[in-house]
Formats: sequence, structure tokens, C-alpha cells
Amino acid sequence: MSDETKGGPLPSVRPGSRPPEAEVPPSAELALAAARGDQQAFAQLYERFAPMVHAILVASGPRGMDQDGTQEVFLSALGAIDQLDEPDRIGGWLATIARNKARDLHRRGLPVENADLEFVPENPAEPDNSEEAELVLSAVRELPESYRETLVMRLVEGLTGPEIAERTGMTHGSVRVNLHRGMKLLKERLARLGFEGMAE
Amino acid sequence: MSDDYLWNKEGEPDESVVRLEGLLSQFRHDGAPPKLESPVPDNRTPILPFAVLATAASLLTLFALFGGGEARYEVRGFEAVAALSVGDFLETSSGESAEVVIADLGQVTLNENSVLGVRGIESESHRLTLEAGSLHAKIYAPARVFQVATPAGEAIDLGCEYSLDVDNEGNSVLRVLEGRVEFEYDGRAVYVPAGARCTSVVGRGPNAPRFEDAPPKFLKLLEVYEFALDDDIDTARDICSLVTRREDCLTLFHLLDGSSKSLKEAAFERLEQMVPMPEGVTPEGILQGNAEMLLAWRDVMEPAWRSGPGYHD
Repeated sequence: MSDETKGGPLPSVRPGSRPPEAEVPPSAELALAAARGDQQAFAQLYERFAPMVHAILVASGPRGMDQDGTQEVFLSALGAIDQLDEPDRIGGWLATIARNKARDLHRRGLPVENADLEFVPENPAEPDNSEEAELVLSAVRELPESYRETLVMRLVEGLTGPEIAERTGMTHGSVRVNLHRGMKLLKERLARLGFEGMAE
Repeated sequence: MSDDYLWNKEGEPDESVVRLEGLLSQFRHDGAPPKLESPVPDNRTPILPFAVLATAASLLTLFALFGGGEARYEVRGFEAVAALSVGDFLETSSGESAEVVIADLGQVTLNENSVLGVRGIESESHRLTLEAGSLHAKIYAPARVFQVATPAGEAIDLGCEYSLDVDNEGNSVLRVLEGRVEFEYDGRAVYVPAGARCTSVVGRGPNAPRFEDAPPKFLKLLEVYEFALDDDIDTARDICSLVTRREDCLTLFHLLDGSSKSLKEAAFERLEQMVPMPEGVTPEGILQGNAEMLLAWRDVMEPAWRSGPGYHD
């Protein structure tokens, strides 16, 4: 590791700016490097897995705690990564930490009014569809856990099915089933709520 | 339409998926990296705050439970699948069933037209989801180790045998054959002992558990009024007066925590007549939901609920 990166701030990661997969070392390699104290490797792990962790918190955690919760998950992982015996399972490991975090955040009992205050639309200049978006997200959050996690990774974070499988460690078949069945249930629920164009 | 676009964003875009992507993208991760007060530690310099280290220690324990190999459940009687790992699903069609061996704790029989998912396999926690259909579970584990989530809540095993059904809407029916199960939804828990059942509706949660052989008229009126009776104390009293057996205090007790104000009041009056409150428990405390007092009163009622063999927690 270079002296320039050690101890300095982690590089900022912007949504939608993920570099092509080929430019980044495999996750297991990054996990091993991060366990040795390579901060750049940890930042790359964060960039790769933060959308998955965030999706799990959006799907199952208390509303409004997903961004901070994502950071807390990685802080927890940071403290334990040098003990990771199977670096190629880091995705599943982080997902487990994220699910535990979602449960912990619920136990802490965050007041709902605080959660609402934290939501800020990405681009306030655009027409405000936040109410409609909240309704859709509520419908997603009422789906069975596996469907809602996978759907949030796809529809909120913009990951493709193969990317979801790569990050979570699930098989392509399981991800495909989750997406297909989850979308079917979601459309049915939204159609009942009066959303147009949701009938199969 | 094929689901290629949903799968990998290729092929003809599915308009409804595109619309949902557009709406939901505003909740996307903001990309902010962790607020580290210190650099990534190496093994020589323990510089993380105590709280983070404590969290890490518990996570390490969790991770260590997986040991050297991938944790999985054996599947019997189902040709296409021999084992299930975390994240896997087992789906049965018409006429099919499968038996899932839950480590050395027991087994789950998945009935036809059902979908079972595996959420977690750890030594102190075995978590499944029943997405659709029905299952029969026979588990001999310490309380709370085995859990099955449905869209309408979570069945938490307290040492028991039970069946669980999920309909197309995700609503769930739990029937306990032996022991006792806790059913939780959105912070509210009900206790379902052997011989009793409870129904949980998505978005509303479980009703008060009731014994299958409770007075039919009582059961019928509860079906109609449990969530639809607010200010009609006379009707509520009529319903609760139908309870004469001590075991049916199970239902009255759970009405104290239910959504109907008048049923809560009438259930309290009837319980007070049937089960004397122990020392230190007051009517005011019960009506205000004092947890300690509720538990103390429940302890007096509970022996009558243990109607099945094999109860242990």
C-alpha cells in the first residue's frame, strides 16, 4: 500500500459511476487486501457492495436509516475483515451483517417522524413524484423478504440479475425466480392500489 | 413478454419495469463512503473504537459458526434438489412434496404448490421463509432457534410441532399441534399453544389465538367483530360472556392487546371474573398495558393453555 492512500480519506463513490468489472480485481482478492490493511481495496469493496447492503436496509430496515445503516455495516465489517476465512464469500457475509443491522435498527425503535425527515429527493427541480415513489416502495417492503431484497437491488440500486447473483452469492436461478415472482406480486399489489399499466 | 429486461436490462424494455425503476431510483444509495475516524486497521494497531470492536467480535462469532464448509439442509423425497443453502428456494408443484432436514433439530415437510426459502443457517438461528403454500414443522430445538417468516409475520418456534399455510395474498394461518409457537408481526407477538390457531393478515398482523374447539358462536362472532368493533361495549360483552372454559382465556388475554377498544374492556371484565389477579397486579396496570403485570396475570392463566403434550421452552 502506498503512503498516500494509507490514512487518507476514502475515495468518494458516486451512484452510477461504477467502473467496468474487468478493471477491478475480484472480490476475494480485494477482501484479502483489505484484511491486510489496504484502504484502497476496502474502498473498492465498498463501491462494489454498498448498493447490495443499502438495498437490504431499504428492503427491511426502518425507513430513513438506510444510508447511515450502510455505513455502520461497513464499519462493522471493517473490524472483522482480517478474520474472514473464506474471502470469496464476502458478499454473503456482508449481506448477513446487513440483515442483522436491519433487525438491530428496528429494535432501537427509530421514531417514524425522524425517518421521514431524512428523505430528500435526488433532484428537487424535477416534478415531485416522491409520494408515488413512497407508495411503491411501501408495496415492495410488504413483499416476502427474499423478493423485496432482490427487487430493491434491481429497481432501486439498478443492479442487473447477474450482478445481484455475483454480489449476494445466490445462484442465477434463485435471483431470476426472486425477480420474476417478486415483480409479479408487486404488479398485482400496485394494480390493486390503482396504479395503471401494472396488469400482466 | 420475456423478462430479459428485468433480468439484465437487455431486450425490449418492459414499460412497467422502466416506470418503477424511474420512481424508485430516488432511493438509491448516495455513494457516501463510511465516516472513518481512522484508517483501515492492520493487525498491529487496534485503533477502532470499542463499540466497533465489540460489534466485530460478535460478527466474528457469527462467521465462525459457518466453519469450513457451506451450511446447508438436506432435502429428501424431491428428485430435483438434494440440499438447500442460504438464499436457495425450493418450489413444489401440484402433487409434489419434499422433506427438509433442519440439521439435527427436526424436519419440515413442504406440501404441494409451495415455496420455501432459506434465510439463515447458524447454530443458534435457523431461518426459513414460506412464500406460498403450506408446511408442517416438527422441531426439537431450544426456544426461538427455528423461525419461519411469511408475508404476514414470523412463526417463532418455542419447541413444537405445527402447520403453517400462506394464501395467495400472503395471509397466514398457524395451527399448533404440540408445544407452543410465538407469532410476531410489526412488534406485536401472540402465543399460540397446542390445539390453538391464529390467522395473520398482511398489513394487520395476527388475530387473538383461539382453540379450535372453542364455542363455535364465540369463534364466529370474533371472526366478524375482532377488528371491526370499536364503541359497542354491549356487543363486546355479549361476545366475551360466551367464554366459560378457562383455556379460552387465551383468546380473551390477547384481546387486551387487540385493536378493538370495547373488546379490550369486555375481555378484561370477563377475565377478572374468571382468573383472579395475583398480588401486585392492578386493573389500572392491566388496562394501561403494564408489561410486568400482564405477564404476571398471564402466568396464572397459562397452565390451562398447555393442552398438548411435549410442551417445553
